[in-house]
Amino acid sequence: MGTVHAIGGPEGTARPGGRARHVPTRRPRYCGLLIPATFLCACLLLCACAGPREGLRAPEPAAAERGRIAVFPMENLSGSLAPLREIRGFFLARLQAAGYEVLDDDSLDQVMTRHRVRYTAGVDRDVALALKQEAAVDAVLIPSLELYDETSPPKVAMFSRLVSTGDSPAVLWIDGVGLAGDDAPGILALGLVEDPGVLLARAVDALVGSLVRDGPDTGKKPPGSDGPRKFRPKLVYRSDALNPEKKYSVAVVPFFNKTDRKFAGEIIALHMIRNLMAFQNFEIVEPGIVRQELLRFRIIMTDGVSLPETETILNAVNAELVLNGEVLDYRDYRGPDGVAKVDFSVLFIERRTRQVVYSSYSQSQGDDGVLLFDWGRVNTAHAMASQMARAIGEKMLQAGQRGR
Amino acid sequence: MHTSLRSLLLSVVLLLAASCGPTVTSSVYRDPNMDFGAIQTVAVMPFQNLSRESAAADRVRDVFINGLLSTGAVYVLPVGEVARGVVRTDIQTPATPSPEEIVKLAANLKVQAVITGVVREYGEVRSGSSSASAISISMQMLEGQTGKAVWTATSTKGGIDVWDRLFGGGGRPMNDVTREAVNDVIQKLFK
Repeated sequence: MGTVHAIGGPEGTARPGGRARHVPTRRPRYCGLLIPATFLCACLLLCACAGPREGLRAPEPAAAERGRIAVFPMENLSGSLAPLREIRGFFLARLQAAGYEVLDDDSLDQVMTRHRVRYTAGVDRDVALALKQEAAVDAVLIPSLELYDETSPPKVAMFSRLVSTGDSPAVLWIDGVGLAGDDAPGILALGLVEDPGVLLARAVDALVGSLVRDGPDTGKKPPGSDGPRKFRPKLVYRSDALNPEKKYSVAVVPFFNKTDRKFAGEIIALHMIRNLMAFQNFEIVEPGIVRQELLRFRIIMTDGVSLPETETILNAVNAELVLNGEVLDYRDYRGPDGVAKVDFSVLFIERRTRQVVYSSYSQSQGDDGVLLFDWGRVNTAHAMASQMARAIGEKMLQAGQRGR
Repeated sequence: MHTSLRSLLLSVVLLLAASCGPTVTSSVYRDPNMDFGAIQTVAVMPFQNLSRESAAADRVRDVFINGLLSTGAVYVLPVGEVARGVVRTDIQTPATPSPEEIVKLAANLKVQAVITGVVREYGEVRSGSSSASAISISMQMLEGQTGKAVWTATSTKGGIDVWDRLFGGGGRPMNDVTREAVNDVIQKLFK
């Protein structure tokens, strides 16, 4: 004999002394909505805590032999000490796991020593030919470290590009990734990454995954999509001479760095190369070749590229457009508090008309358009600059737009 | 007698009021004899920087060149080409060229006009506990054939307003204020 205490309501009251009657419990009307509402709130909170995760897809399983490649020493654009050998080691391991045959370090060193190669942030014609003939290498992978910050939450940003060997080296693939430990902290900061090694491994995985997925063997390019409005250039000039249907070959000359950040010019140039490559209309001349020609013609730019210099470069590399510009701000912050800032301008000069066909000024900071819960906040200058560079490519190819 | 005293008082008050009034001057000068429609290509010289921010002149020049190009009304030579012209014509102080130097430069670069500018104020201004971004710039256009100033304009934007004083907040970002000032100057050119 017991009593049944039903929840909520007079129907549930037990009769004393009598047989306990099973009374169906009835929840209040709003109770059915409570669980889905809680779930929805949790999902929204999780979404709010999530940051942009650029190119973080897992590498595809190893396919058949993908070709023989050489991995150049890591270019350090971070302006600080970084575990470059360790990162290169990550690259070698992941590439081998993905089915690439990687040239061993001794053989690479032999070729480099024989040809006295000191510059490893690009590939010129001589080096490309030597690697093809002497080491039977099909392509060279050039990794560049943009940012390495161990301060909690850590931040890592890097680029990687694949350049073909032989007598006409060309950029086959390029991608970049920028990650911060607090990109996706989640509820109770369970998703916070405090180990820079974990971020490094994720970044390398993302890049190798992108190479396997979108690399030269796959014959496909990353899809172009409209980015957020806030990353579009703030001032734009676009000449009618620029034909959105035409395919242009672009030579990127070094950007002028007017910031406190070391190598900001090289970093923005890599962003532009990466994002212009995503459009079918642009073909980018390998920066190593452009550098070789600049040295050959002894071109020293004091304040931007002049028209005779433009003509010389474009004739030497057989390109239609030269891209130049200046970086006014490129700032990452250390620790949990701060705002990333990027500020640069670009200038495209056409070979045929010898005129500026596109010019724009872009400026953004990580908390632009952020109102609540850091929704839409961008934690690294890399992630922001990448979207800004993509927006420039989109603007260039928009037909019928002149002026602002 | 009474009426004349009243009129005298009124005249004195009016005179006093007039003397206290500000001298109203325009922030724009346009040469009435200049045909601005004939200007198709211009060169923008490096700006003179009178502010404490070392990169201010480069920033403002960059925004100004893009802003002027984006109007589609005139073509602005690339900065590298201007730098080449400055070297070839041997201009010692590109920010403040003489009329003779302007004539030589314009002929060398094949431009109809040369624009020079001064950044007078750039950065954060403070008043008590309030602070805000502020900019003050002035530009002038010099005719290529004579080296004479045909247009000048100034603009001052940003600073601490009532809202900043009451609620704080630090004002608008420097880049927004810069763009606003540059747009203001460009609008004064095409007025």
